[in-house]
Amino acid sequence: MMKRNPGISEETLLRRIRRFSVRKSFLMLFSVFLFLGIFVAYSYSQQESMKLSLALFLFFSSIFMTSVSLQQTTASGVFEPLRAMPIVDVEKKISILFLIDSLSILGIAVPSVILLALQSLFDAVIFLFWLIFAILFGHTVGMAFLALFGARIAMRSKILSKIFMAGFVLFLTLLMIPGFVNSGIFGEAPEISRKYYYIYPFTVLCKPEIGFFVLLAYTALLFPIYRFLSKKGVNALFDPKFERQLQTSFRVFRGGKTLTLVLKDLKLVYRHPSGLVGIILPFLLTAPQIIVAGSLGGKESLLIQIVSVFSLFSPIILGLITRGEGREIDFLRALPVSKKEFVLAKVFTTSLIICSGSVALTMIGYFFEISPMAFLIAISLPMTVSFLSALYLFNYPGDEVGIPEMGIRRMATLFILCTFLVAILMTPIEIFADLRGYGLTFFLSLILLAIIFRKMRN
Amino acid sequence: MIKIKDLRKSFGKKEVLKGISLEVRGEIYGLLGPNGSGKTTLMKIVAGILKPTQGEVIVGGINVEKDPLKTKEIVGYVPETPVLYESLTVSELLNLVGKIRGLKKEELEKRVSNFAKAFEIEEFMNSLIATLSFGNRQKVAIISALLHNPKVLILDEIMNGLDVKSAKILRELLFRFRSEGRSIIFSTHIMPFAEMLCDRIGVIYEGRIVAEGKVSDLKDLSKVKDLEDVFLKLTRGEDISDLISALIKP
Repeated sequence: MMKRNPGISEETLLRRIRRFSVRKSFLMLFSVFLFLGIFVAYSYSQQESMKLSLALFLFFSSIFMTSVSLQQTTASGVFEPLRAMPIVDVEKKISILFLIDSLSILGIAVPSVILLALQSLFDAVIFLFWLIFAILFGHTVGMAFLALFGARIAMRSKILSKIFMAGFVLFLTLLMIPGFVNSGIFGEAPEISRKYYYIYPFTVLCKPEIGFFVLLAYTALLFPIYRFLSKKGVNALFDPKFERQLQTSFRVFRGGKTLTLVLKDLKLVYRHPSGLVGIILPFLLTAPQIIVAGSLGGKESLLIQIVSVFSLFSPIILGLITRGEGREIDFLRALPVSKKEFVLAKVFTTSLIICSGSVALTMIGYFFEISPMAFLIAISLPMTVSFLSALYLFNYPGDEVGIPEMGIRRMATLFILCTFLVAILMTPIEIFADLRGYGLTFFLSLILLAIIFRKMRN
Repeated sequence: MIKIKDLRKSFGKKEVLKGISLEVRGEIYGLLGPNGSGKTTLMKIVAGILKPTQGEVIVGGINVEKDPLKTKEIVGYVPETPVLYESLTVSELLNLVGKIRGLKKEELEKRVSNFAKAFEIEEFMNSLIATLSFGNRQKVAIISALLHNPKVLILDEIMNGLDVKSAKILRELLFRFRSEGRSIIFSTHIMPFAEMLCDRIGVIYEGRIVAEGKVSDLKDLSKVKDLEDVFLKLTRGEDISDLISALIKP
């Protein structure tokens, strides 16, 4: 029924929906994560560190997938026909559909679990259940987020909504603290982990015999909360609440066509809290790493590497901004907006967001004596990656404004392309490790940026 | 002027428009047809939103397929169900439209303020679109389409949800546009509106124009008194009494 929804008129979107298969999509995503999981499995020397990191990664990824994907899919209108149908527990069914989607990230942990099973099968099985729990927990938090403010289109004039948002970010940050602890920032990680074994995510470090009962207790506690929140979360998407602002008169904003489109994109992201989560999470995941690396006396090259890796979030943010259009793209298609202008607006919005994050990370790095030249890289590198991502994604036939194909295969290819680009651009810094390196990397970025920009304009 | 020649459009294997040809010259052309007959597809092609599979559409001397952007500059299009940016305010949305259409600051301010006053949406200027009623959303969509003073108007079920005063203002506005020689394609399911507004009517059925002419000509041709009966006869919907009986029977 969802595939035959007459409410959607965008041909590309319709084609994509009709081609979509839950099973195929799950298998594809699972395979990609499984492939990445092989590298993850071999990158950890400590078992405890691996367990904690995976438990946290799956938890955060599940929040991201739930709050962002569910809101964007609902905004596309595919679930609309279901609302009028007498389907029992429709909200629960939609929630489960997305939970299944989130379960695909389990693939990243499978190789590590297999390695663990070679040492202790029981320990590996319990850890696997903890990982499934992490996904369910993340999904539930995502649902709580949607129920609280996910579907609320907000005019950010109200202080209350800001406090709610800050509280949520703080909550996420608190959950990341164990990650620093385990990284040895206090040098007493195992002791702290053992002391607080009953608090998630330290629970994954429990002895399997105890862990089994702790897991049962956690699941028994989480399950009714999930049932309650899944209904509330999906309902919030169907019937969004709104915050109104005091009325004022009409005022014309300054700026041309592209700037107007950029402002529109920023407002769409800013006014949807799930969009905000999508752009804040990459920063939240990267900032601790730079703090940890800096605190442990990491070399400047390591700090700049972390900043460079952050630029790899560009395709994700570009995807988020592009998908944010939803069905409303039909409105834009009736206006004289060229594909070029549309894409440029998207890439400028992405660059603005990713460069802000990158500069903020470099500022943190600056406290750990990163070179001021790094600021140049913090701007040029993510900008180049954003432009390359846009050039690749929007390389569809025709001059129509539209939402490009962003399936897992295409995104994975783009991610590999961006990784290569970052690796190539970072080579001079790796070789020279001084001002010459920074200068060369910056110069190379500018040349590439000019080439891509020219290609986009033609 | 709008000139459509042998227009065809297919979605996959399904042919929705099967060789439509028509001309609209400084008049209000009513497009009538049952649901799924191809009205919306035809209007979207004329507005430069969809590409035809075959045929030619010229709007104001511009070939729509070759230059959809130029076409959009002179066309004002209101879709059947306007999908507006829910998380923008009315003011922000009209700013967006005005800027994209290249209106100067003073001109944009003046036009928005006049339209807002006429359609009585001044108090909602800084409300989010998502909070507006269906009728007020329709008004915003209409203002968006008229803001740049278009030469050609494509209006799909435009009267839906409008209050009496706004509907009258819009009607008078369309008459004024016609007197200035602008071309308007207007689709509706409400026959009295079609009779009242349109200079000529085209009945579209299963992707083909099955009849075209003045309302009086169509009535004479079909030998019936009502436009509704003309429509039902042409779209093979005249024998509805049996259907109604079947619905009532247990």
